[in-house]
Amino acid sequence: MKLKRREILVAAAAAASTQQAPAQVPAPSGDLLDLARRTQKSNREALDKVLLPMAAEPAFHFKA
Amino acid sequence: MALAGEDLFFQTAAELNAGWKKGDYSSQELTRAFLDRLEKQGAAHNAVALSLREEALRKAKEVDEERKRERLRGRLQGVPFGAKDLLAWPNHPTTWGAKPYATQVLEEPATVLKKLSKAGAVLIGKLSMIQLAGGGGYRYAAASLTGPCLNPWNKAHWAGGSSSGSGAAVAAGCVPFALGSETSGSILTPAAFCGVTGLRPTYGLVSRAGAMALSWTLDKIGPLARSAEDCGIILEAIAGGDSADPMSAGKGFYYAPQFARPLSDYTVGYAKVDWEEWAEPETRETFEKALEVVRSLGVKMKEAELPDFPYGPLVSTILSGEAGSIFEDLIASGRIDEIADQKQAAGLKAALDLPARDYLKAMRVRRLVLNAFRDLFYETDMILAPTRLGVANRVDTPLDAPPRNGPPPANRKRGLAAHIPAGNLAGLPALSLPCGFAGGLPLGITLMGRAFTENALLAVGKAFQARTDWHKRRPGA
Repeated sequence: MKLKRREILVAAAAAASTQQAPAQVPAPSGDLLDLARRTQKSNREALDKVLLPMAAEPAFHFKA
Repeated sequence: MALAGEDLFFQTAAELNAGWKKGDYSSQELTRAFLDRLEKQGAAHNAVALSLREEALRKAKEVDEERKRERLRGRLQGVPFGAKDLLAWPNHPTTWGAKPYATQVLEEPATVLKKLSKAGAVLIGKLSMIQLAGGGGYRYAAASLTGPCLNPWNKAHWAGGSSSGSGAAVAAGCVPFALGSETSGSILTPAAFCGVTGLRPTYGLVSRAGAMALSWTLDKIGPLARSAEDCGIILEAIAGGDSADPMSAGKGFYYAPQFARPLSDYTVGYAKVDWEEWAEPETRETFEKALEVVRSLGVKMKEAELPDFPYGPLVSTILSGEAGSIFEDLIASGRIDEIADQKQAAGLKAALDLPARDYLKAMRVRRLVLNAFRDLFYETDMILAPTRLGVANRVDTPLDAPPRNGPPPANRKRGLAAHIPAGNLAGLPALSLPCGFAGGLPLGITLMGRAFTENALLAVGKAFQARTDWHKRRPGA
């Protein structure tokens, strides 16, 4: 099959866009993603209310 | 078999082992009977991910041969059990309850299953679970590869999650005990909703090697069983240091009820507001009676309150940060959309964007939580609270529906009602005990103690069960 120059360019562009596209995170229904982000934000606001001494280190270890 | 009919299926693991040792029945007979029931009744409750009939019967035969040679291995030998399908077992799918992993085969068995096998227990099936142990936050009981797990006490209600099949299968007499896992409530909730005894061990006491990770700093594995005593026996078999789990505490556990302190030595913290206001109105009478039974054991009771922290947001932020990283490939590949609950998928996608600032802040506040718990347990040995404030949700109702009685008044005291997220943040052990019913559905109370004080919790739990028979009740009886 003989392709026209224009068709070759379109196909090449499509292939390039497929290769370069970052791993897609398909959007779920916007409402649910928005809801999840709003929850993160309200969590952040709740944590911001805690008085946190500068010396408090993350709790990565648990001891008896 | 010496035991016939329904009674067999509601014996404790210790009783079944005693009967097997005496020669009342073989492990093969026992295993076949439980397999038949699991495949029929367990499946009818959507509690089964996979039956392991052939290899279970092979293992039971080996165990029976050991008995002939008087090679005895302890109080779980010959006893069938089930395991949440987030624990790896070779040659079969380990689905994590989620469609993207429906055909996943992990060849290295989970440490806890190796330990139980070594103890002579017989794994007869993998049990259903909420997909990915609920990471991302699910809206429906149906958020599972096997559909909504139905409560054996009333099939219109849910079994609880995320160790749904473990709770339902024990309650329905399909297995004498099961393993579940808890990140924030996934052992205690199904235990309470299904009317069985559940033990969440101290963080690090039980190896998580071979278990699906949801949150490295919150995940724990523990038993759901028919009694506090069984939980102690099972914990002894599965606890212990493991170099394959980087967060292993390197400690063993010896269930030693014979060395328990007198109950009068223990101070139990409780909060009136939990029983009188936080608990849903229809449950209060049952919970009050349970509180009176605990009081009658001779323990000292003292009013207590959880330190003031935003426990829910803390757990949510930490879990989000860790789960987002753990499931990054699944999320980025788009296969996350194959899971059954789109709210959960959205929660995991949003988790990928959680700022490091939020995660680290939550982990720093968690340090303050740990310090505050040290102060709380300076004055009490353990705290007591309703495991959940109400009975199991209906399977057809969204789990995030607003509370039926409206939001709690802003001026209500904290009490101990948030013990599930608080205790999980602090890595503390907790024991949920069946304590009665409301509207025909089970309720549970929880004892939570200092790290590595499982023997104290089990001693009080055993005494509570010596005075009550809620743990012996059977659905449909």
